[in-house]
Amino acid sequence: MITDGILYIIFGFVYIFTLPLRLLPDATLPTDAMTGISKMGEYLANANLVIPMSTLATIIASVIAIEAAIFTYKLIMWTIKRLPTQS
Amino acid sequence: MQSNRNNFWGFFFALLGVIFISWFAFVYRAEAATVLENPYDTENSGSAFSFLQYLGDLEGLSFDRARFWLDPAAPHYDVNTYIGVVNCSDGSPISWLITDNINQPNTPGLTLFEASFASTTATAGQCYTAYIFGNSEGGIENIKLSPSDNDFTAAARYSASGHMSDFVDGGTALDYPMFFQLCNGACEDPVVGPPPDEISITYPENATSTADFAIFSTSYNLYSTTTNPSIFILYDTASSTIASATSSVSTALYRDYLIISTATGTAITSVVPKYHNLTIGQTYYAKAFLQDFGSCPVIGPCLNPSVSVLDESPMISFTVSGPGAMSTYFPTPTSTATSSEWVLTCDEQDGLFSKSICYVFKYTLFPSGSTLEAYSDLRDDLSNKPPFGYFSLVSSAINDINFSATSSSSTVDLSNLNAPFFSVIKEVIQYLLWILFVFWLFSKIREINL
Repeated sequence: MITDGILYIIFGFVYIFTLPLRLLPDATLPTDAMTGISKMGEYLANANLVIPMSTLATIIASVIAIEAAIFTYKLIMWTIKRLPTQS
Repeated sequence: MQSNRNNFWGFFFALLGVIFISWFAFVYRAEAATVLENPYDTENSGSAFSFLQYLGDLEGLSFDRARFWLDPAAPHYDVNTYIGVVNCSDGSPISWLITDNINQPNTPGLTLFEASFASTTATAGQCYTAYIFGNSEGGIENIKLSPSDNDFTAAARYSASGHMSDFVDGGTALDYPMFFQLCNGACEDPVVGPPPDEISITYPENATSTADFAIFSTSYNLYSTTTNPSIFILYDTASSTIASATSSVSTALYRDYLIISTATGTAITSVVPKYHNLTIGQTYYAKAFLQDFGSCPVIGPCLNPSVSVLDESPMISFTVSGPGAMSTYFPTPTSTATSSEWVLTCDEQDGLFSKSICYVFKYTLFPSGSTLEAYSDLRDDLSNKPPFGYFSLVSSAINDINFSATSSSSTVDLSNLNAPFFSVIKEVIQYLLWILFVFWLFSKIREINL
């Protein structure tokens, strides 16, 4: 009951905060965009005969994830240092 | 340090550039060869009916497109086109690449028909043959072939009763039904018959993730005369346990079936109810069989019906991403909490005091399933709204890309590149990429300054 209450209060804030977004219609992409991605996949499938596309995708995703993690950490630390009690 | 970093990225992108340039070279070299060496015949495009045919050497090359024009002034079109791989020796069909029908009664204006099908490559002893069946009111006239310009060195004309005469380029054929065969070499009397029975699973799609579902969708061509035709779907977590048409014993985990109509036809769609719950996160393999149980029906007194397998579909695989609609779904009572850590069960065997404390503790401190579900619903709702929805859609579309799938629309046949030589190159590139990544990771860790 107590945990439920706390969670409901937080939920209420989040619910109100996200209200403008939820009033928007569902996102849809133009058919051409989806076709483009699908076509890209077909060409990548061809490239996969010679180039290990799965490996390439994994490595690029790993690089982006590591860079994003470092950036996020630095952003948090920068924000903390802006607090009055922190130097 | 900065210089090292720049050198690294320079080397990385240079390697990527070399890889992509190599790939494009392979692709467009193959495409250029296809276009330049094997042009399509266009000289007859102005005639009332012109068939553009593949002009290259048939063996070892792919054939992926057929075009012909129909006279817009013709009052009625009813043309059946069959293009397939046949035995060079007797013309008997090996596989049909395309079976199409144009029927435009009293609808002038259709000027171009282009049919495409998956590229294929003939092996020794196989020929490509284009059959054009005409049963029309002037739809097929003045057919012009150009044997002298291409490798189709002969064309023959057939009626329903058999071979009529060899066909002369530019000749007009008004007999119908007609049958033309374009041959690489001397034309042999073909074995004229309907396309074979075929079945394929259209849902779930191969190599996709899907929520648990209620029905398999299939599409089949049935030409054989049958007594008790049915569709069997075998599915299992291992592909090896699903029998092939040549094996009489199946040890597949699940099987569902549907008795279908004896009516023959093309591209008949049918759904087979799925009666088994699937495990979420598990990959399954499935195959459909078009079968005839003859005089002994699927459900009946016969214990050992004489099953005739008319066709079996290609094996598909799919991964169950979550719960979904099930026709006979009886959910096992489970907690609605999203994690087992949120489940607290009070032991009914405990004493009254312990049990009471447990219930009070559970009531006051443990969140109910509905609370957590509200968060889950909100997240689902937001994931469809801009701007998150765009990321979800793009992410979903990118995740659906299957690198190992064969391209269906590309006009370039790269299957001959999949030789051991290119496998070695691919493996070497794979190792190079990982080594580069490890170097990058080390340099990143070394220069990191948190």
